[in-house]
Order: sequence, then structure tokens, then C-alpha cells
Amino acid sequence: MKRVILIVLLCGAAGFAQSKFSTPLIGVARDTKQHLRLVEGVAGSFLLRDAVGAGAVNWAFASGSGLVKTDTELVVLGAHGSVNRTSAAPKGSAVLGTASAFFPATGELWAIGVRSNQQVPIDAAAIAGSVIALGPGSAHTAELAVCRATQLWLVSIDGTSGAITHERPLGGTIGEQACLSARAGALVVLRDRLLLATPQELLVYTLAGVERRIPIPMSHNAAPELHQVGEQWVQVESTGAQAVMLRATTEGETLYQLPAAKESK
Amino acid sequence: MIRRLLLLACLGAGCLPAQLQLFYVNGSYQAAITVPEYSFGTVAAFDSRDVQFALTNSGSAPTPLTTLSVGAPFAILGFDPTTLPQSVAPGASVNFTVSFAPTQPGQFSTTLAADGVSLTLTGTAISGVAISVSSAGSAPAQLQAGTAIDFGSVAQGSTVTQQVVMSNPLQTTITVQNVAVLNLQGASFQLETVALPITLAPGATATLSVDFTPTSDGTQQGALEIDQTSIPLTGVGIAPPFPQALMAFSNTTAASSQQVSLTITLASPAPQNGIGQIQMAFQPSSPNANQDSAIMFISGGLTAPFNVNQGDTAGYFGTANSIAFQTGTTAGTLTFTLTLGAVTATQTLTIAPEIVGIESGQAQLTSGGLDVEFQGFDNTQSASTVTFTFLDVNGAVLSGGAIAVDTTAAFRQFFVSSDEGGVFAMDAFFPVTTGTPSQVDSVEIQVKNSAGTTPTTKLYFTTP
Repeated sequence: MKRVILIVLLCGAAGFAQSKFSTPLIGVARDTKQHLRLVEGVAGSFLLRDAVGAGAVNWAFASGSGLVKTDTELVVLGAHGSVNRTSAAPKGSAVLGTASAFFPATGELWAIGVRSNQQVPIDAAAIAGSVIALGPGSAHTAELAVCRATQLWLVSIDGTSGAITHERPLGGTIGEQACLSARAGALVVLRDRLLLATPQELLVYTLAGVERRIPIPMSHNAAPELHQVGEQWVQVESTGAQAVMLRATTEGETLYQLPAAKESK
Repeated sequence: MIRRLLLLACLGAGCLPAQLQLFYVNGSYQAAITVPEYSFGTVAAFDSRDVQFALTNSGSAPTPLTTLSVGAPFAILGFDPTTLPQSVAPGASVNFTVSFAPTQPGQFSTTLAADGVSLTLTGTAISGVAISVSSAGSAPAQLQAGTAIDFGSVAQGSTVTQQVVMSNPLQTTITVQNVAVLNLQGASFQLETVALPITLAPGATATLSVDFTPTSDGTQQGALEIDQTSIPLTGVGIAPPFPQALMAFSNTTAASSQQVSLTITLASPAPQNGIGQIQMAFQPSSPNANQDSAIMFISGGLTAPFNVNQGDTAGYFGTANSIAFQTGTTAGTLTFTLTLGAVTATQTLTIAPEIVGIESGQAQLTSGGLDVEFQGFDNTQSASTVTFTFLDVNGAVLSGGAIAVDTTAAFRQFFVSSDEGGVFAMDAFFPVTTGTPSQVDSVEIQVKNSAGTTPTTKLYFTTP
């Protein structure tokens, strides 16, 4: 009976197939002039398009939406980098996920909805550490990467009550090194892996427990900053060095150079 | 004739008293000559000395100038005698040069005569040699007094030699006591070793070799001193040529959607610092291909400057010894043209037609149907058919079979509007009017273009 239903389904679908084409959007990256720009194309064939903002202290973008933190505002980006809304936000830096924001200055955690931002009532005592990164989470859960003393923990928070629903320490080298400087911007939490930038290399820790080390172009021995720029993409920013794009797929990680911006169409 | 008549008319009509006065001129400096004699001093035979004079009308009315002359071995230069007679306006001057160019030793005297002006010119000539010059095996050519020996343009580090032939046309023996080369800047002019003194019997010759090895760019000046004779030397130093440059790619069989590194190697160490550039151009295989803006150097644009340092055999892009470029997503030929001074080099890289590359995709079950998105590139821009094969949770092909969609026109329409070569994102939606979409577990996608059909890409359905 099930098979019969599917046959009907596909017969019905075949006649109504609709298609539309567009230019693939990789995400939002920062160029050498410190402008956030849309990046279009495919791996190895990037094109930086119109600037979507400047003066960002942090940003994160994936799956057609993202956040930009300026000194005093939080900007919510929609598909293709359009600005959905701008909100006054605690001054200074912010730890950003693609759908949540944590402000170290005030200890506030915001869940970013389609139409509004919602402050999540987190218990600092329960968090018991420094938030250095935010994971992708889900519609109802925020995921925090927290340094408790020298140990990195992944803490899941209920997006409404702020209660901790799950927490676990991260093992391996990344679990030990991520909190040595507790530096925001050094860690990115993707759906299936964590990336940590050190002055010497990029450490990859998959949630399956596999660790990899990737040498990356560095400058002045300063640890680069990592920013999620797309669903599979992370920008590796080193002062004075060409920006590097890392693509994380099930096959592993691949590095590319981010070209300079050209005049947009 | 008319001019002469006008002058006579002027004089006959009783022009106001006018007076020509002789001045010695040296650049912007002028001094009235109030003594009856002017000495040119001592000059070697076959050499010369030039002095500038001016005749100035110090009166308040025009005055005629009908004659201006000297006797040999003096000569008037810089004045056209066919302009005589002429009228000199009040306050105006007639400038000219008197050259003393003796061709034998002795005491010489002449009179510089002009209207109302008379000045005795004297000069002494001592023994001197006549000079001829030859280079590169050419026959010696007489060098006129005051004329420079010109070595032409010579690359730094290279040497051009001029043979200076001294001859004695006199009836007495000449002994050259001193020969030297002076440089006004650097040490580009050098005299090859010569034994002194040099004794020249009547009719005899001796040859000096003067080398010009420029040590810098631009005009270089010096002088060859032969006793009392000074012969100007001049030449132009030019940058030495760079050795041939070669470009090499990190990937000689480049394909679309790649970042390839380019390095520059010089055939020998660079003789100097220099700046060059590489120009990148792209010719698509298909005349219908759109623009591919992603083809560029990582530094942005289609031009990459580089520098070479003296002694190096590699080019540098800033501090890096290579630069990456993107091959884009269009089949065709990339041409790289290197320019470094006068050196040029060209290299091509062919991007062959490829089957469609599918980079990523998403499949979603929605209440209205099945939404399949995938991104990739078609470097032939000839995609024609996309086949969607829906599978159940067991991986079995549903009985509806593969759904082949002719997307030729849709792809073409999109590529025409794009400036990013063959990249595309396709969103195919299958509305479901009957049945249960959630029974569909995955979809396999294949795309056909002129180069072939892609391997199957499988996407699993998720819910938003």
C-alpha cells in the first residue's frame, strides 16, 4: 500500500516540477579592507560581491541568515545579506552563533528569532565559566562552548527557560588548549566538529572524537580569528595575511584563499 | 635688396646718432669691452676655444649692421652672414661666437670688425695632435674641435671602447706628455693603459683606447685630456637587460574551480632590482559563454605586479614567491603574459570541458512537496537534462522512476544573465498533490551536459 502511494506521489510530481536558478551564495566574509561582503561561487571560485557592512567586531553567517555585531548594535541578516533588523546591543564584542548571541559585557544571551530577539535567562552560576563560542543549536536550544577553568565544555541551554539541558566536557587536545587563553574568536563550533585556531595551526575535533591538525598561513605568530561565513565555511583571519577560507565537509577540511574584492555587478 | 634700400634710406634721412657696443658674454653675464685687444690665450693646435660676444645698440635709434668679420684661424659661429646688412633696434643685441681653432702652432692675431667696432683678437697655438675616432672596427673619423666623443647608449656593466687616434700633421715632432680621462660623475670612462710620453714624428699616429662602462642610468660625461687639449666624452647608461623569465604553475593540468599557484623563475640572477607584471587573459571555448568574473588573481583583478631583486632568480609578489589565481568555471584558455623590462614571456593553461560539478545540495520535505536544491558549476554552459530519482528509506527506486527534466532553456537563460561563468544554484520543487511526501527518503541527481553525465549525487530529505 505504501508503495502505491509513492507511485501516485511521483506521478503527480513529475508533471509539476518547477525550477529556478540563482548564483550560489557561500556566505558572508570580511575582505582585507575590513568590509563584510557576500561571497558567491563554489569552492575555489569565489567572488566577493557588495559590502553588507563595515565596522563589525564579529559576525556569523550560515544557511542564508546571520548576525553582525558592531560596537553598539546587533544586525540580523537575511538571505543574500539583506538587513532584516538592527537592534541596540550591549557595547563591545559579542560571541555569535548564527541564531544566538552572547554579550560578555553583560552576560546576556539572546536567541535570535525571525521577527525579534529574545533574551534567554541564563544562570551564570550554572554556566560556571566563560562563554567563548556558540554552536548552531536548534530552534529551541542554544549551544554554548564554555571554558570552566582550563577545560572546554559544550553546554546546551533551553532557549526559553535558560535551563541547562545537557553538558559535556570536550576531550582531546582541543579540550585542553581551547581554554588556555580563553580567547573569543579562536573557536568555532559547527554541527559536526569544532575548530580551534592556535598560533601554530588549526585544530579540528569532530564530535565523533577524531582530531586533525591543519597548518595554515600565519602572520606575526598571532593566532588567527575564526568566523563562520557559511554552512560549510569558516574564514581564517590573520593580521597582515591573505584571508583563508576553510571548507568543512564529510570528506574533511580544505583550505582556499579568499580573493580580494572586485567591483560588484 | 629692399632691406638694403631701407637701410640706405634710413641713413640718408638723417637717423639719429646710433652706436654699436661690443660685450663679452658668459651665460647671463655680460661685460662691455673697453680695451682694444682680447686674448684667447693658448690653445693646442687642432683644438679650439670659443668665446661669446654681443653687439648691442646703445643708442636711441636703429643703427645698421653691415659687416661682421674676423680672419683665420678665428671664425664667427652662430651668426648667419646672409642676414647682413640688418638694422639693430635701440637696446637690441646681435649675439655671435668667435672660435679660435688653430691647425698649427704659432702666434695669431686678427681684427673683429663691425660697424664702428674694432677689436684685436690674439691667440697662441702650441703643438697638438689631430684627433680621429673609431669604434667597433670602423674607419677613424676626424673629430672636429670642440666635438664630444659619443659612446652612445650602453647597458650598465657592459663596455664600449672607442679608439682615439692621435696623428701629427705638422712638420715637426710632437711629444705628448700627459693623457688622462676625467669623469664628471662616477667612473664610467676609463683610459686603457698607455705608455707616456708619446712621441709622434711628422705624419705618425698613436692610438688610445677609452672604455665606457656605465655605472648608473642616464647621461654620463667626462673628458679626455691630451696635454692642453680637452675632448668631451659623453655616453648614456641604460639598465641592463633582465634574463629570460619563466612562469610555472603548481598544477599543469588545471581544471575549473581551482586555485593554482604561479611562480616566476629567472634564467640567471637578476642584474638589478626591477618591477614587472603578469597580465592574465581568458578566452572561453564557447563563443556563447558569459563573463567569468571569478577568473582572477587572488590579489584581485587580472594583473599581478611582482618584483625581482638583484641577484635573485625568482620573482616575488610582495614577500611571497608565488601568487594564486582562480581558474573560474568556464572552459577555455588562460593566457599569462609576463613583462619585466624588455623581457616578455607568455604561457597558456587550458581549462578543458568538464561534466557538471555538483558541490553541495539540500533536500527538504515540505507540506507542499519536495524541494531539492543543489549548487555546482557547468564549465561548458550546456547543461541539458537533470534527472531526479527518488528513493524510499530502503534505497529502492520508487516506481515512478527517474524524473528527467529538460532544463536546457532554463540553464541557458540563467547563464546569459550571470557574470560568474558556469556556477549555478538550482532549486527544483515538486509539488505533491496526492500521496505522502514523508515516504520519500532521498533523491539522486544527475546532470547531463556536452561533456557527459555527472556521477550520481545523493541527497537525503530533511524537514525544515
